[in-house]
Parts: sequence; structure tokens; C-alpha cells
Amino acid sequence: MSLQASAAVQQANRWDGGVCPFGAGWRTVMLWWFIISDGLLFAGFLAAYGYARLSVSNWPDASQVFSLPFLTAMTVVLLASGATMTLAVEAARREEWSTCSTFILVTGLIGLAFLGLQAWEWRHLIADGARMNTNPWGAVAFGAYFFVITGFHGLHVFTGTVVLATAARRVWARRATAVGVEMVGLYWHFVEMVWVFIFTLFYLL
Amino acid sequence: MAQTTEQTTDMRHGSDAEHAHEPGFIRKYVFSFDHKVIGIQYIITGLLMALVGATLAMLIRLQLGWPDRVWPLLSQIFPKGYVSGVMTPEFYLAVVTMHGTIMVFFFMSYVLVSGFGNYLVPLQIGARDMAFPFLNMLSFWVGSISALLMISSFFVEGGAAAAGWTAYPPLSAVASAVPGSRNGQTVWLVSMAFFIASFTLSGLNIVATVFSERARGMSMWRMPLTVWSYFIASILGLLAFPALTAAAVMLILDRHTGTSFFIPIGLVVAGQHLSHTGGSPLLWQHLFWFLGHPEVYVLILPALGIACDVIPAFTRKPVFGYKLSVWCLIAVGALSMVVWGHHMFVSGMSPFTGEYFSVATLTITLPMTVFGVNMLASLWGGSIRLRVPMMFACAVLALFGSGGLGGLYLGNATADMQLTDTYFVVGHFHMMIGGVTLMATFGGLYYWYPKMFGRMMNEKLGTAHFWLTFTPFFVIFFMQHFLGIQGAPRRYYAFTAYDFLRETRLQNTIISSAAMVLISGQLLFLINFIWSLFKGRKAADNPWEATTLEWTTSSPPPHDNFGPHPLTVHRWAYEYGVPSDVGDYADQRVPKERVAVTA
Amino acid sequence: MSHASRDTVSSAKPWITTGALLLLTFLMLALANASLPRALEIMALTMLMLMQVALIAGNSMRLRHAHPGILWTFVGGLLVTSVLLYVLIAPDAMRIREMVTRP
Ligand code: HEM
Ligand SMILES: [Cu+2]
Repeated sequence: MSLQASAAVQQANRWDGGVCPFGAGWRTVMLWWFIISDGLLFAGFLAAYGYARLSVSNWPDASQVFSLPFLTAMTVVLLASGATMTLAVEAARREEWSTCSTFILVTGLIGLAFLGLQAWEWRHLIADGARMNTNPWGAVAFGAYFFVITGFHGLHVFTGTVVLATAARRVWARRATAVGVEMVGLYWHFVEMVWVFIFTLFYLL
Repeated sequence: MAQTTEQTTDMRHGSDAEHAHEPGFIRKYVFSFDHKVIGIQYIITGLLMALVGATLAMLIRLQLGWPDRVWPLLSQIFPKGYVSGVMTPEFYLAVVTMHGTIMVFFFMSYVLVSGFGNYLVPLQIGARDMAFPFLNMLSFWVGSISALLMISSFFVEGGAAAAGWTAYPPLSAVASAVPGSRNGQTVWLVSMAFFIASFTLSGLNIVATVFSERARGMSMWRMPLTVWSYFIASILGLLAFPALTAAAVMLILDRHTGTSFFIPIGLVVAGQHLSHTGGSPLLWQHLFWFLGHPEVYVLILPALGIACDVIPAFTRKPVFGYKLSVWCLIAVGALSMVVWGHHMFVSGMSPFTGEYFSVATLTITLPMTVFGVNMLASLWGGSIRLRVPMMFACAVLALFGSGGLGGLYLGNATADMQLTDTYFVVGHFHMMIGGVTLMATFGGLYYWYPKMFGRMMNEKLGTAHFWLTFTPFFVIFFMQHFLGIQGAPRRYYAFTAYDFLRETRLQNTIISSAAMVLISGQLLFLINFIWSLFKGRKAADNPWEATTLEWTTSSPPPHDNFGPHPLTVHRWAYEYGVPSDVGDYADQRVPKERVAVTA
Repeated sequence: MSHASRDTVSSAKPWITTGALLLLTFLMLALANASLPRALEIMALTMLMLMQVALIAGNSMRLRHAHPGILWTFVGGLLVTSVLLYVLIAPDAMRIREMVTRP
């Protein structure tokens, strides 16, 4: 956008000022740094979890605690929402706004479905006796880290659905730009990516 | 200006257009989007917090300097903290904790990083405002909530947090460990969460602004060192703070939901066996210092950057080794992410990582030293104008050298075993995080005051203020190094109970007296600041004959900083000592046809 | 964000990415259940996880099409920083386990 406009004044070197290095406007740069910073929050939790896990010898065996088919379903659901999000972004790029709006909405609904599955999982574990400070399977820290890490991820999914709902409305009203939708997409894919980390590091390993 | 054809960078419509109309008082001075107003709001808030922090420092020094005096007056002001005129140990701990927290996070971070950062970065890169002005305002108000929360923690049941500014568990995690851990610690943690949110928003803005909002011709290698330092400091903040957010969440859970992230098994507090099991206090230390060490560089880099920009204006020659200094800043920034373990040498950490952290810490002193030497060399052969900002810049150098020397001893794990948790550490970090930053703050305030408020500060009062600040400051913290070598432990409420420390009585009295001088000396600054606001000499646009962009606009600058026309930068920020039609310098907007470009 | 008109991607592509992600997920599930030696299991799963991350970051978040600077900011800022954090705290955790389990 701004780049085409400024083509006339563009110097050979994008770092020279007046145009953006990295060919991205401040919104994109800012969002990427936000994603890095927010990602490091999860890094903090996951590193702490890895630390706690290394320091005890009785960490529960995940396959005995969780139902892997159920987890797989959660993963499939979230990955599917990633696909519809990408479709929304591409529709926005082709300026097919109603398609775009629909895909955003679908993404949000799948996100809600994920949250539903997560709530189900929590209920199940709580019924089995998992609490913040105790659990029937082994190291006490297991329950605490489980609730904190999946809770924070769930919170991000929830924020994401709110953002998606707002975006769907704006797109529907033709008050959005392709870049705006792309940024919503970036955030949603980031949340998806965090799940990949959690899925592997917490549930599988 | 919304109508101009400035298409290059402007993607923040809306806010600018609204501001073209004369905004009301509230929009102009309270909920303002203007980076200059927000910067000044941060500075004023930070200075007010500094008053609180300094009052607490006085209480600390009264207690340590005259441990067996009775203070009936203080009993009336702090009925719970002073029982019949004698300070309680619990109150002492709360005071020390809050002093550290307020000074680090609510004075230095506010004034130096967010305050000057907001004010200077857009001006010095030739931008109209921050990339995202609304976010900027939001960050200030979230920050204010956090400051108010922190202050309010004095009034909750049990009093303010008392586990130190580092909030080590178990002290901070177990409510029965110390009164401040009942409610004060919770408020402390929540306040820190708000602070981190605010600081993150502000950091995002600075990074994006430096990236994308530079005026035409303002390449990275033409940015003043101040801008470089804010850029790197903001990136450090974005990378380091999230770990503390995670840790704070876990600590709150430990306190309120019975988890044991940080509380080990078998702990006995106040005769009670705790039910917690399986946590590790070391984990908190790691996560805290993963933030904590970069945070001290977040504070010191802008201080050094400011000094580097003040010095050439008063030596009339370019800074020495500009590019090398930038690379040093980058190296220091990168290395500062991986040295945090030097705060934990005696924590029982793995000796292998301990050795690594020791080596890494000594490595970081290399770029730091090169940077310091560059600053020194910037003085060499200059025709020095010893005005107030320059004096403070020299003080930055003096304290940076002395504090860094202490750091060398501490960074060596073997020496640190002896020195850790003594006044040697207190002396070291006050020289650095206290002194370098304080001197740069004052230097910066005297230097940019004319730009901010359109009037000069009084030189005579300023000079007196300088000597009343620098001298006692140096005395206090230099002497503390020796107290530390003698073995005086930090955070102790009184040294009267130990034979080997009784002889430090006189030193402590001298230190406390110097502290009283230091704090009273700040009255001069307060008077000067307020008096000059109304009665100061009117400032020219460029009273110091400096080269950076903020001096090319009016004092104070208009809302859009540089007027409607897009500006172009033609040279680096240190064009001093070249003949030109205004004297011996050329500002960054002077084209090369008029004055030759030297770099 | 400058490639608004650069590419006209067919809508099959997101499903390819998703398909690959799913495939990897199932592979990882199989490996996790295969009772491999622990070290091998950790290595294999981490590798596959990083492949998934690369797929999401590269294709969905379009880092492949973004300026390399953004890619390196992301890799250095998030991934390298996280790894450094963990690598430097993990030895202490192992020490704690040693001290607790030593008779
Ligand atoms: C020459 C480079 C430096 C080295 C080698 C160094 C080394 C150290 C070491 C090893 C410690 C831990 C001492 C202990 O607790 O036993 C320490 C503490 C500290 N340093 Fe530095 N340091 C350096 C520069 C700085 C700078 C530039 C700042 C701040 C702007 C700073 C602020 C602090 C603070 C605040 C503490 C104490 C924190 C606390 O325990 O409350 N240091 N330093
Ligand atoms: Cu440090």
C-alpha cells in the first residue's frame, strides 16, 4: 500500500528512511514483535514446565492421563481453523469480502468448538481428581502446569474468537482492508502454532 | 497537515485529522495522543514517584545511620511502622522493597525510558508522532494504574510487600513469612502485571516507530545514539519481560491456589510445616533474572545514549567511534540476554552453568568498556563548554567507570561468593542503575527542558544542584563498597547486634548524613524546575547549538513537530567542528551543498 | 503486506498445508506410542514439531513471502531466545533431581 504510493521517492536502500525496511508497515512490524513477546510468555511457562519435569522422577505418563484420540480431535479442529483462516486471508486479498467474512466466521466457530473440547477435557480431568495442587497420577506440579499452560492457551483462543467476530463484522460492512485481515490471520496462526508446541511438549513427550 | 501529500510513511489516518482541529483541554493535556505530552506526563509521574522513593530512602538511612535513636514524629506519620518511635524490622523490609521497586520500575523506567523515549524518539528521527499514538496513550494510563496500585499497597492489611524488589520465594510466596506477604505482595504482583503490559505497549511503539517512521534520509547509521539506545532497550524489554509475567502468574497461584511452583517440600515457616511440595525457588530466580538483568540494561542504555548526545554539543566535536559505539550497544544488548545467572552464583545452581555465566558476564564487560572509552575519547581535544547538562554527562562517565569496576569483581564467581548480598553489591548497582541513570536523567532534563517548555533552567541553581547531587552520591555508594568488603550484609535492619559490624557505625552515619544532603539537594532542582517554568529565560530553538533534529523545530515544538512539509535528512547526527553559516556545526537537515558531510 | 496483488493462490494450498500438518501429527502420535528409546523419542518428536512450526510460520503466517528480516527477527527473537532460556535453566533442574534421588 504505502509502498506503491512512495515508489517515486523510493531510494535504493529501504533503510534510508522515508520507506520501511523489511517492506512492511509499522502495523506488521508491531504485530510481529507482539507475537514474539507473547510467544515468549508461553516460552516462560513451557521452560518452567520443562524445568519442573526434569527435577522430579515421578512425572505422570501422559498417555495414561489423557485420551489421545480426544487430543487428536482437538488438534485436528484447531488445524482446520487454520485452513479456513488462510482461505479468509486469500479471499480478502482477492477482495471477495463476503467470502472472506464467511470464512472468518467459520474460523471463529471452529475456535469456539476447540474451546468446547478443551472445557470438556478440563471437566474430565477435574472429575478424575486433578486440581491445581494435587492429582492422582504423580508429581503435583503436573496438574498446576496443565491448567496454567492450557488455560493460557485457551485464553488466547478466546481472545482470538473475539477478534475474529469483530473482524467478521467489519469485513461484512466493507470496513476492512486486506492487510487488516492478514493481521488477524497472523494472530490466529500464532495461536495455532503455540498449540503445536503445547501438544508436543506437554502431551506427547 | 492531513491534506499534505505526505504519502511515504503515513498510515495512521484518523488521529492526525482529528487533531488538526483545536482539541479541548482534556484531549490536549490529559488523554492526549501527542507523544510529547505523553512523554512529559511520564516524566512528571516518574518524578512524583521518585519523591516517594526518596522518602523511603530517607527512612532507610535514618534507621541505618542512627539505629538507636527514637523518632516520635515518624511514629505519628507511620503509626504501624514505628512503634513508640522505633522502626519495626517488618516495616524496614517493606520500605526497602518498595524503595527498590519504585526507583527501578516507576522512576527510572518511567522518566528515562518511557518519558524521554516518547519525547525524543519521534523528534530525533523526524517523525510526526509515534507509529500508533492511541496505543501510546493507553500505555501511559495502564502504567498509571500500575503506579497507583503499587502506592496503594502501603495501605492494605499487613502493609506493602517486603520480599525485596526481586520478590524471592518462599518469602514472597508464603503469607505467614512476613506481614508484607499477606496482601501487599499480591498487590505488588498485580501492579507489576499492569506495569509489564504498559511497558510492552510502549516498547512495541518505539520499535515500530524507529523501524518505519524515520524521515527520508534518516538511515539507521544517521540516527543519534539516543535513538539507537531506545531501539535496543525496547527490543530487550520485549524479549525479557514476558518471562516475569509468566513467573508472576505462577507466584500469584502459589499464593492463592496452593500450587507449589516455587515452594519446596518440607518448608517450615513460623513453626508451621507447610503442605506445599515439589517446587523450586531457584526457578523463580531464573525467571526473575531472565528479566531482571536485561531490565538493568534497558535502563542504562538510554542513559548512555543520552550522555553520548549531550557530550558532543558541549565539546563541539563529533562523538568518538560512532559506529563502534552502535555495535557495542548491539553486542551489549544481545549478551545481556544470556548473563542473568550471575545474580545466582550462591543459589546452589549448577557449577557448570555458573562457570558459563561468569565467563559470559566478563565477556559483556568488553563492549561495555569499549563504549565507555569511546565516551571518554569524545571529550578528548574538545573545546568544552562546562554547562549543567555537560556536568551531568561527565558524572555519567564517572559513575559508569566506578560501577563497572565493581561489576568486574562481582562477575567473577569466586569473588562474588564473598561479596554477594553485601553492601558491595548495593554500592555497585546504585552506581549503575541508580547513579548513571540518575545523572543522565538530570542531564537530559537540563538539556531538553528548553525544548519541552520553551524556557531555560537557571544555570546557577543547576550548578549548585549538580554538586549537591554528584558529590554525596559518590561518597555514599563508594563507601558502601568498603562496607561490603568488611562483610556488612544488605537488607539487614540494624548492625548493632553483631560485633564485627559495630565498627561500621561511623561509616553508616557518614553515609546517612551524605544521603540527607543528597536528598535535600534535590529541592534545588524542584525549585528550579517550577520557577523556570514561569520565570525562566525564553529559550531559542537551538540554545545549545546542537545538530539533532529536535533542535531544528520551535521550542516547544508544534503538535506535528516539524510543520506541514516532509523533511529530509542529509547527514549524520554529529556534524560538529565544521565551518558553517551558523557557527561550527550543521544540523541534520543542512544539505551537503551548503556544508560538507563528514560521515 | 505489500504483496496484495502479487500472487493469486489457489484455495487448494491451505488444505495442502493443513494436510501436511495432520500427517505430521499422526506420525508424532505413532512415534509417541512406539516405545522408542527416550532420547530418540525426544529428538524425533522435537524435529517433527519444528517441521510443523515451520509449516505454520512459513505458509500460513507467510514468512516464506515476507522479508527475510522478519523471518530472522522471528527466529532469533522467539525461537532462539526460548531455547537459550531453557538450556541455561535445565542443568539446575537435573541437579535437583540428582540431589533428591541420591540415597
Ligand atoms: C560491567 C558490567 C557489569 C557487570 C560485570 C555486572 C555484574 C554484576 C553481578 C555479578 C551482580 C550480582 C552480584 C550479587 O548479587 O552477588 C550484579 C548485580 C547488580 N547489577 Fe551489575 N554488572 C554490570 C553492570 C551493571 C549495570 C550497567 C547495571 C545497571 C544499570 C547493573 C545493575 C545491577 C543491579 C541492579 C544488581 C543487583 C540486583 C540485586 O541483587 O538487587 N549492573 N552485577
Ligand atoms: Cu546482572
